[in-house]
Amino acid sequence: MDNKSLKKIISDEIGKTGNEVDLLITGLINVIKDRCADMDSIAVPGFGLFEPRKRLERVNVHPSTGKRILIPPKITLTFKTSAVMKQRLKDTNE
Amino acid sequence: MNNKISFPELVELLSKSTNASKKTCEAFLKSFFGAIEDALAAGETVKIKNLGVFKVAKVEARKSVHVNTGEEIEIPEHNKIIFTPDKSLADAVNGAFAEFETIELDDDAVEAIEGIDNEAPETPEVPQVPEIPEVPQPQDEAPETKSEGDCPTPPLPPEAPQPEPEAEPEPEAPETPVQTPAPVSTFIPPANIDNDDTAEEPDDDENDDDESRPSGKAAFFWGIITGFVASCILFFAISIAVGFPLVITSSEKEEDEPIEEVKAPEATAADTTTVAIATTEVAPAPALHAKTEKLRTDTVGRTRFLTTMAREYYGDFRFWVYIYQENKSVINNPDKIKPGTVVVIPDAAKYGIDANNPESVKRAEALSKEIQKGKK
Repeated sequence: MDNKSLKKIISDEIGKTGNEVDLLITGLINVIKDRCADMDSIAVPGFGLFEPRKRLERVNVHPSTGKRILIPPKITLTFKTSAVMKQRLKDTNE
Repeated sequence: MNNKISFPELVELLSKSTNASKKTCEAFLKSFFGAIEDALAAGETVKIKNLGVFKVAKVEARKSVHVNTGEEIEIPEHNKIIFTPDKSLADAVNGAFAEFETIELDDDAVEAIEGIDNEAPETPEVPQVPEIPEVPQPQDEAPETKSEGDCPTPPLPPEAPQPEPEAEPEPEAPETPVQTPAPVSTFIPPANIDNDDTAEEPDDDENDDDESRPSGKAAFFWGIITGFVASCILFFAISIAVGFPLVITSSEKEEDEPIEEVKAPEATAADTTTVAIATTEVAPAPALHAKTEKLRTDTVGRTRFLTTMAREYYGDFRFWVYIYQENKSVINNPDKIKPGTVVVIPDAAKYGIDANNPESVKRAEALSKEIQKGKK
């Protein structure tokens, strides 16, 4: 499912125009961006948790050149699927 | 920082940033995530511009162990959601560390930084080729010392060479009991120990278990141990007598002495005269002397090597050569010391050992190279 069809589903569901939905999606992404950049995690009940995680620096071997490289520390945004969603995936799978 | 934002809070944040009513925002969020959930449950991949991609991935069934019971369980095949954040989002989240870049390291720096990591994978190789343990050592030690010269980071890198000796003594592990009596009596003439060694080695190398040793030999060791314990008690009695020259204690001592002396030969005479000599040699030594001797001896273990001791006593692992020199009579090959071997730690002044003096360290290095050559 791509952006367009998602927008359409939402606009049909909440009775807003495509533009309004567009604004809301951008707004939501900005909220997630700001909060996660502040190391806050965002919990969406029934769906999952968006959580920024710190990753330590490490030394690795460059796969092609074989040289050792130091990979700097970083913060990555991880998504942890909620138990409800996991169960749902499992049920539909069976 | 580190707060968990709940759904109502998210609604509020969204309504603030978009100026939409809370009701709209809540309806939107529910429908937004609901739509994603539905699509994912149907096995679809959801791409959201500027947010990222949600993908459903199949996880193959695999075996695992139950954490509590230790039973083997099989985790059945299932699906999981993989979220890959969009680049703009990932960069924004990583803003704090954005200025860092991946650096290519040259070899020297690598060893200085992760000397231990570097060495670790090599250790398992050593036991596989016990005949030529000398080969890995010079390679390892040479760059190690170089990197140290460049940037003085003393405590960490010295740990690196440790694993080599660790791995090497292992094959000869069964030797341990033979030399356990040695810590007791450092006075035992080295020749005796050598004889014991050569006598023991052939069958020891074949069966690695201490328990599989013939019981007659075990009795022999017990004899030595009891002999030592007896002489220790004797020392103690003498020292008490010397410290507090009371009539009562001295008489006690007189009573004790003959008994102990009888015991010692009893235990040992059955096996070898050398041990008897050893115990009798120990006996006349004053208790105080014995104590100081003990302070400066150490036992080689499976994880305790000459290098470990050198670092402990002298502050630098490279001074192990002096411990080796001091104990040449006990150690045939410094790369293959049997755990349990007791070595005398020479006084630092005897060989001019000074960890802070580069000259002294250099001398130790040169000596270690000579020793390596001598073996080849």
